[in-house]
Amino acid sequence: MEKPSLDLVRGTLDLLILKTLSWGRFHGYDVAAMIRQETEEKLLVEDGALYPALHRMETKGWIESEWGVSENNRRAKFYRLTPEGRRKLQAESRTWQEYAAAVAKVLSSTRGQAAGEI
Amino acid sequence: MRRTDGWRRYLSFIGPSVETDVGDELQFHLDTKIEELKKSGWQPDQARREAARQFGNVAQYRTLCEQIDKEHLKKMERADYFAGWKQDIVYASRQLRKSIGSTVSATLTLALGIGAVTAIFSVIYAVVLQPLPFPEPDRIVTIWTTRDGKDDVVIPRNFDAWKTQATSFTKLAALEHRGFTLTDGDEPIQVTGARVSSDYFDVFGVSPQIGRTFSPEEDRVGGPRVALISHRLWKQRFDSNPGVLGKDIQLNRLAHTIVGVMPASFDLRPDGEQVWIPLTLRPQAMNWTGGVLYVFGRLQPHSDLRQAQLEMDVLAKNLETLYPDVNQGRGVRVGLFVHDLVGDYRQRLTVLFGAVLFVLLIACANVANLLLARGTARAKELAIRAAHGATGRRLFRQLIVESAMIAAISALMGGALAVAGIQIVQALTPHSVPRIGEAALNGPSLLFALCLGLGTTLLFGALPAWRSLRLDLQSGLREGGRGSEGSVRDWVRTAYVAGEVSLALLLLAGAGLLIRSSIAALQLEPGFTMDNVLTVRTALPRAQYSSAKDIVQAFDKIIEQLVEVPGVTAVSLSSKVPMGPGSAGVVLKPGATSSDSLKSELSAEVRYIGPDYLAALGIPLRKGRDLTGFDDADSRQVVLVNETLARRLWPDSDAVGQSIRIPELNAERPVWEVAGIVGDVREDGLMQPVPGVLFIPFRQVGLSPWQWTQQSAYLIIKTRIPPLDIADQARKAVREVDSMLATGDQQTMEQRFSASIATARLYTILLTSLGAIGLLLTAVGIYGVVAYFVTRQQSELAVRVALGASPRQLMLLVVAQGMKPVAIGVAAGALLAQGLGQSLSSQVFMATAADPATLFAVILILAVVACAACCLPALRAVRVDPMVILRRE
Repeated sequence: MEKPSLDLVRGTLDLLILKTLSWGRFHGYDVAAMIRQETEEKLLVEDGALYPALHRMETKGWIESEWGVSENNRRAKFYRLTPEGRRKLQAESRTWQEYAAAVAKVLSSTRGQAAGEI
Repeated sequence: MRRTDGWRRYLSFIGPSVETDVGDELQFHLDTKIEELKKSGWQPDQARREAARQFGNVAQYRTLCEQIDKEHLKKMERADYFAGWKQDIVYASRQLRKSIGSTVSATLTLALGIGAVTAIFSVIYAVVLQPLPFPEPDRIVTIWTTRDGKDDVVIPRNFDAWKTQATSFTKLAALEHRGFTLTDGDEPIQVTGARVSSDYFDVFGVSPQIGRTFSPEEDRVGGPRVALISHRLWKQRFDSNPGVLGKDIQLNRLAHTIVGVMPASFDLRPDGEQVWIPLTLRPQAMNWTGGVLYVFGRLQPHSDLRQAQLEMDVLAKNLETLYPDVNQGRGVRVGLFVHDLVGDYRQRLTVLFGAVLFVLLIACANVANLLLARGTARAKELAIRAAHGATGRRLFRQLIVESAMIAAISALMGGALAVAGIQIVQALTPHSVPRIGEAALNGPSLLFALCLGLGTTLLFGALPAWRSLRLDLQSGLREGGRGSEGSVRDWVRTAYVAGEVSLALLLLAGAGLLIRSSIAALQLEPGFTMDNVLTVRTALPRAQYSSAKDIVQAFDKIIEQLVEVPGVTAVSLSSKVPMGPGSAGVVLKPGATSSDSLKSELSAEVRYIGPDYLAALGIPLRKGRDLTGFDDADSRQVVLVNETLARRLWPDSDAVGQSIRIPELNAERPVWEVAGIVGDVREDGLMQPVPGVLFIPFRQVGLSPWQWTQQSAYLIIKTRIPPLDIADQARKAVREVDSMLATGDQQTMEQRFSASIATARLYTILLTSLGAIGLLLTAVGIYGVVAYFVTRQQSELAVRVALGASPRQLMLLVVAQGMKPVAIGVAAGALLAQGLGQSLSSQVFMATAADPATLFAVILILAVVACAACCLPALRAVRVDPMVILRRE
């Protein structure tokens, strides 16, 4: 699969992060791992791209952070959703699904061939 | 959770550095990745490289995150900062509303002070400070002939000499005042105007709004008759119609073509010139011995006032040698035009400004004490807030915000008051004050008002707020709001009161001096009867009246008509009325009088009067006889002299029967005999010295002397009924004789008198009002402070009462305590008054500046008022039941 455009990636990445954090409180490494896993390595080519996204979303108030201790006893920064983030996730998911459905519909339409084919 | 709290938690958990945090976060990711790779069997170095590869450009991502975080931090800090201010403002307005009484009084007091100061400043700016609307106005000079140190107008010969010989000026121009009867179809009116040399307008560097100024060809005898009109005349008479250019108007029945209109900026005074025509000095003018010209010049770029003065001094000496008969003892003074224009208004306005500033300072002191008292009462509340974490700086900021809010509201109200104040001053000020019409709340004065608002905030807000910084919290809580460090506060309060009192004393002393001088002036006899006298001026144009006989005939007929008007008891005429404009004079040389009594030169005013002059004005005849109808062109030439002139000319003998040589009046018959002595009249105003006056019967005046007064005279009409009732009939009477004659400057003598003292009276009223306001404010301030002390010492006083003190002793105690700062203030003020009295001495008439009686009276008034202000709270203290107070402890 070719690399999608930057804006598309950014918007999609935000959505994925929100979804991931809706499952709990994680640090950046875990979020990266989970996204890689769920998308089967298709998105998130570089781990580092995650962090600007996380910081940006924090300034917007969708997620909040606090320092804690990781499983391997290290000091790590944990993120979780804010109520506003939760609302944002719901809205964006709906938009995404509507968008995807509309595109899929167009792509699978048989308009031009309908008359000719049975 | 709110954004703010999250940000705060972020800070409180980590440490302030954004870089460290971002670094730590990314490092954790890399370390964890390396661990995992190592667990999967990777070698440490390879694991590290792989981790970095998988991550991407660490430095770039790191920088990006840092940027995002730093910007966010800045935004949060800003929001927090503004939130803090908003909180302060909300809190401050709540506090102010709680004690609405003192807030309102503080705001009003300040608004009054700020408004008054701004209004006066606006007036000063318009009249004195504002640069004149000419290019390089400080290069424009007026040049006077001086005699005995006094400025005088210039004779044409001298002007001619200066023009050819002086090198310090690029332009030198002359102006001669003229009155004109303007006829252009509508009813004729009289206008003030002038004859000017062709480069007069160049001196000021002002171009006409439309048209052009005079050319040198027009400034020659026999040149075309042209005129320039003022912007005001253009608006009022010609509706600002540009079509006036080239139109002909009749000035004194001679047709002049309008060639230009001057711009509005050239109308410096409401009573200034409206029409200008070329000067056209005739060769005969060179022989005139009397000065008529006002001379204006523009300094050369390389010259200055001092150099010009030096050069003119030399020229004056030369002229003295060349023409000793007219220039003996004459000097020259070169002065800045703007100074001569503004003159003594500058000084008066400065004093007024100082007075208003004092009132503002007193107001500030009052408000400061008010806030101090409030601060003390709130010590407990402030202490609690401090205990809850508010820093001294934050409390300081809050108190400053309170002060600033009061100052801001006061400044706005003050601005509104200033606008009203300016209108009032403009309405009351005589029209001779230059540029008074331009006083407005304009840029500079608005800026000034704002600075005042800021300054007052600092003055009355800083001290109480600063006190809060050094709050003794413990004592604040313990003493229930009455801090024990009050002794220092007391000193401050005492200082404020003492300061107020000394300022009030200065104000009252100044006002007292002016009142005293006004009373002294008003007690002076004007020397004539003012009531029921109407005066109106009319001029006979040369075109129709070209001989003395014609002039006399016309005036005779006018008088005949006027006598017939019902209600009139006496009619006369005079070339000048008391407290009226214009005068003509002659210089008497030694030897001009009989008995050779005149040893040195003397100038005397000359006046042409009708037979019933003394009767119409009620002037007493001291000796000899009055002029009658028989004193005409065929009989012996006689004059009347007033007492002052009689004394000066013949100090040792009786003036009646003496004779004087006055060749200027009649070269062929220069001898005039003194027929009588009349009582002195305060001709130039109550406060001016009486001039020496020669009264000539108008029937004996030759044509040439009639030119000195432009063939005009004032008709003096004494009536039985209110004089203005016959005004219309008087005008009609004049027109009966000649329908084209115009009348002007119609006023009753009482109106003239009021006008002559208008400025002085306004000045006195203003200063007295300010003094009264200052006194009132000071009294309020004293009351406030004493009341505060009484409240604070309630327990003490209660104990005293319990121990047997009588109410009288108690009162004495309180009053004595209250009067202490007053005494200090009075002492300081009295000393200052002695010093500042010098500056007022030039405006004070007949009362010396260090007048002890006035000062004593003022101190007495101040002491009585202060005492009363102390007694009121003292009375309250006495009435309180001591047991109630003590139990409360």
